Amino acid sequence: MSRLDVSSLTVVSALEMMRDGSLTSEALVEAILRRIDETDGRLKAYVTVSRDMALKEARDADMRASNGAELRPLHGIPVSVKDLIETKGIRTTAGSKLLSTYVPSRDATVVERLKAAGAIIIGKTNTHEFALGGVTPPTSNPWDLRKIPGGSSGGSAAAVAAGSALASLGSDTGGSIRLPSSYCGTVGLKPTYGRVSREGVFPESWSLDHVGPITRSVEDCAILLSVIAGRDDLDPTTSRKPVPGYLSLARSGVDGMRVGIPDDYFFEPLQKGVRSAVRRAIKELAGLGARIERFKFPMVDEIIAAHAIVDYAESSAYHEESFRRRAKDYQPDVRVLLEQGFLIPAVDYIRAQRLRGLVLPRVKSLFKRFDIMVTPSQPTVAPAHGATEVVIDGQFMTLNSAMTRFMAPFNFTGLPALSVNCGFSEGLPVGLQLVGDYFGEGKILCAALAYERETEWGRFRPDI
Amino acid sequence: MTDLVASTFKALKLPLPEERLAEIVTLARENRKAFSPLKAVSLDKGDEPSTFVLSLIEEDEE
Repeated sequence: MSRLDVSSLTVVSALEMMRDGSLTSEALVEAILRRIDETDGRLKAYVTVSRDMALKEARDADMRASNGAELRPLHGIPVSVKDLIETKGIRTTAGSKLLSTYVPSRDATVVERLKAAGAIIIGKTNTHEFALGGVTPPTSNPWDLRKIPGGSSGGSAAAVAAGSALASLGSDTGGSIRLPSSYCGTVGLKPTYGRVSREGVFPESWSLDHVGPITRSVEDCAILLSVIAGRDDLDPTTSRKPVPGYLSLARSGVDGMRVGIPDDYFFEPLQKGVRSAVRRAIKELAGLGARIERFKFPMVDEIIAAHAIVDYAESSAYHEESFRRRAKDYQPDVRVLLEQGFLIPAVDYIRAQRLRGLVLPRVKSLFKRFDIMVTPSQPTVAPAHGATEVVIDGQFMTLNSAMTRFMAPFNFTGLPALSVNCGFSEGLPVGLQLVGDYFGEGKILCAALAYERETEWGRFRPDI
Repeated sequence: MTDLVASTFKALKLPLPEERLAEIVTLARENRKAFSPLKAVSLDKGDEPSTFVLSLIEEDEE
């Protein structure tokens, strides 16, 4: 048998091959492990590769299939998991010296659900320490190793883009699924707040954290979301709303969909190549039958300020005890963030939370006019390792401000948002962000799939 | 501001190496400026953040 080429494989295509008997889970896992061996010395997407455990589970899956068992939704599919998410028997470090030897005795709910659907955990991917940053050292961007992958789920997006995982799980507090997806050209979905359990996931900020999939195609994203979404009694912030079949919703077509394009905040400043790719994408959506209308997004400067206050304060509250004992063991950039959080006055934190009461109904009412909103995912393509600021249209901006600018509003409001590749600039992917109404993941998946099928961007893979 | 930062860390019993104090103070000043848009917002009485208390009570009743 010839060696399996995983460079263009998706979850959907691998499942089709397993159903028609042309691929076994063992062959797929072996191929992914070879891909990790070929790339990860340079890419550094993985913290831990669970080689033996994955191979054993793949053989077990093949055995069950050969005995006539019905194939589950993710039968034998190797999936990587951000190292912020607990995995039974596999070291979970959260990217931190503080947890360098921690091996959980149980799985996070999302991992449990992946396994129940037949997925195989291939390994743990790098995260910025405790998800508190957008760089993800030491991981590189598979499109250009001199660039960062973004973060904090940078290892997940880099591995999926490079083909060293077919899919991955990430977390997103200010853009940490969509940012690396934009920089690495993957599909990344931050679901509605409460749609997916965070039980067993180290918190960054309780009221801003979300868990979601990072994949190579929109259909793969829909499949993973269907598996991990839904009420979890161990996470009281999860919704009891029934989980629809996201794959069928994604395939329902975009004709007549009302698409809102928000005001200048989301388009000024913007790198030239990003601007032209996003403008072209909006025209392509219109060409597919979507009705485009511009509007003003409410109170965005206030939302950005409130998001930062809540993020700082909740992160520092979570880390207070360990910071008191082991401040020196945090990375310098993370230590600085936590120190700033300790200085947020309680009245500012409460003021920021009260803003939600004002903003959420206004944002919700926008979806009487639109089905989805579309924005650029990022103002720039992936910057170089070591960059701390970016210059866009002649304006200096800290890298952290640039990275969270278009994404944090949807963590603060809890709206679902997805990044999909809409082209390239300077040889690097450009992300298009699609935002939906609460629990409107089906509509953004639908628009993203129609766009992905109409264009060629989702078929490009990095040459690494 | 310097005194405020030092006393806050002391009150919280958090480590604060002397050589880091100036940097922390500078960043805290920058943050105050960055957070200023929120100060200008008028929040009416209805926007109170304690609705979660009822949700916890109802959770227990189910």
